[in-house]
Amino acid sequence: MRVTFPHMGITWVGIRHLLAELGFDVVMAPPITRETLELGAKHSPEFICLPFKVLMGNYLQAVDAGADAIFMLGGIGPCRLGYYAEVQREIMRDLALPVRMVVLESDNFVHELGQVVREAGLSVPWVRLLPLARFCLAKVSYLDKLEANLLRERYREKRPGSCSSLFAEAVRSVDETSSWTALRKVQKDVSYKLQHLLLPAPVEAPLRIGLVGEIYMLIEPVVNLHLGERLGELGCSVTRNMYASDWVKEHLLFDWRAKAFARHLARVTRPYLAQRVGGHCFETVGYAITYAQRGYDGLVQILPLTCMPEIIAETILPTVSVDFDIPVLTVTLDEHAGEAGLLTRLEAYTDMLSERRQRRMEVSGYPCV
Amino acid sequence: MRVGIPRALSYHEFFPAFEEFFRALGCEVVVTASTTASIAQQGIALACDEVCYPVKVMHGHVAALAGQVDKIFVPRLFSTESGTCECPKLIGLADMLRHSISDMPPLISPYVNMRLGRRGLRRAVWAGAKEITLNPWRISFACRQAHNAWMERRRTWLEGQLSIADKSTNVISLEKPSGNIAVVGHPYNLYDSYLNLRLFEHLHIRGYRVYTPQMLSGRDLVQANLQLRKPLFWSAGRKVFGAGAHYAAASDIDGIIHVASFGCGLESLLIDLVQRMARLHNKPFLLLTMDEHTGEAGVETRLEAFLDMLLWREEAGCV
Repeated sequence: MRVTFPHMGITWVGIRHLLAELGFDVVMAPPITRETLELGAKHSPEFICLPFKVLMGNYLQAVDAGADAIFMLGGIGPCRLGYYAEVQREIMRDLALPVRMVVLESDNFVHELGQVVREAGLSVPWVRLLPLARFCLAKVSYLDKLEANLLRERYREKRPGSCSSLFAEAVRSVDETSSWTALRKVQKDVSYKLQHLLLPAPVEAPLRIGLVGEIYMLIEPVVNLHLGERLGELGCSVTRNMYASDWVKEHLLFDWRAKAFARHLARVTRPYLAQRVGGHCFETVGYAITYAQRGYDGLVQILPLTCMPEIIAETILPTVSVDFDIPVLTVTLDEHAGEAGLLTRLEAYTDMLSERRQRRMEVSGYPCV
Repeated sequence: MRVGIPRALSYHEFFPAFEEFFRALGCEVVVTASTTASIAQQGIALACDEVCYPVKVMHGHVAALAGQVDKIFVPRLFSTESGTCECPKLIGLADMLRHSISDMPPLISPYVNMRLGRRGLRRAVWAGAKEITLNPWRISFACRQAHNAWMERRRTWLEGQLSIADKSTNVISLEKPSGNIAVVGHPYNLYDSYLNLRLFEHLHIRGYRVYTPQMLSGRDLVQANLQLRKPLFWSAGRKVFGAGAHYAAASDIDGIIHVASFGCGLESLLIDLVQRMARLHNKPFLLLTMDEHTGEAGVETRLEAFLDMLLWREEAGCV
């Protein structure tokens, strides 16, 4: 049994390590490119959201590379993601691909995994499972923290593109580690290199942008056309609200800090959105308000075309924008979106934000009114 | 107290219940007229660009009620069937309306979550009624009236009555039909003749009987849904797929028309599933994806081509 799984940012580093250590023969889906998107879109329903098309492309390319089993998550709605696997299974059956979909739901996770392990004829060292999972989570967690750091500090890099190269190098190095000491060494190396890539912090603070929106579009850089990097190159310090490791810690583990923040978020969001509507609409509106309260200069909301919960957030953000005096830019992407068009919009937006700040400085001496 | 009910979205499925409930509580109930071009245009202007067409039309209906009534009834339907949920846009509808339309009267928006069972329903009914009366006997009487009215409508649907108002479009009235067509989709797409560009009228003029998901009993729908490996977690999805699968397997149905709104989240997956069922049973299938730019002439052309195909199929003996 040769297993594969869909791409979502750098989560592959942790998932590949976990499956490989359990004894599976892991076939990695090739990195996402435009071909992946086009291939996926060709075999997907007409107006399905972009993550479905990307995943479909991942599966088809992975099957070409020799995979015969795919690990995928399920769900109970209202977001469509919970039903992706069923339709994808049917599409691959129509294409006569000899692939088995292993769908992990919240209520049959262990049972399904155990069944696959038995079928593959593996002897899994169950005692090692917990430390192994902890290590994989630590890898992904470190890369998420590094990405957050780079998004925040990219505006002061000496050479354009050096931070992104460092990140790619860090991902490769972390992927090769298999012990805590090796991981710590990589962390120290990267931290040292990063210091030399960045100019000292300027006197005038950069524009601070909060990046919110649908989780897959935020985490997968190819699909959001490297939005965070583009904003960094335009001189903005970007803060993103969601990372894969944070999601795992909040929903699968007991992280009291995450849970306390979630309660704060609920308190802040309820006047605008009375209850959760599925997806990450609640988080989008909540973080938008939180960033506004922390004095950010602007917000960028990113969503795939027809994403239902994010469209509700899109309707609510204009009121948040007026109430908290913070500009909001909504970017809707699908496989037809072009990088040049997005860059033009971002340049116009950042110009407008600089001008706004300039005007306020002239009027009151402070960047905010 | 004047309570307004917009004739859009959940109205088309539950309207007798809503109207009777508020009437029995002693309110004057104002229901908007059927969708017209001006209501639709108003809705398109007010709503966010990317929302689906039926929700835009809902915005238009709510705007039409502003200034005429004291409160508008827009329930927060999280779940109308145990173990399922609704489309996120229906769940967050009240908030969307609040943020898109200014100068709106307050909304009566009880949170309906049938996943919580009878307790959830009781809480929802109480939340809906408490702004009008706190008398539990009156509320309980209103509930019974609403339930009776809705069961009566269910009964007429099961007998094949498409529209109570316009009896000429009823299934049971056509004695010698040219054929039987199943039209599946969300109730707000099917029973709003402005949204589906008078599809039922076109079918009736040509002498075809029309069958909809509401004409199937709960048991038929559950039976049809068993064909899925994993049950759909949207109640609306179960009805659309259940109807599609049932009618695909039914020998007396000549063809299936699936009416979907562009951008509908549920439909993006359902059109694939229903089409698969139609293909499995070798049933002619037509998908009509509608939005605010669709023209009636285009729909009529496609419909005529589809019906011609059914005739030729029958003549060639392929049935």
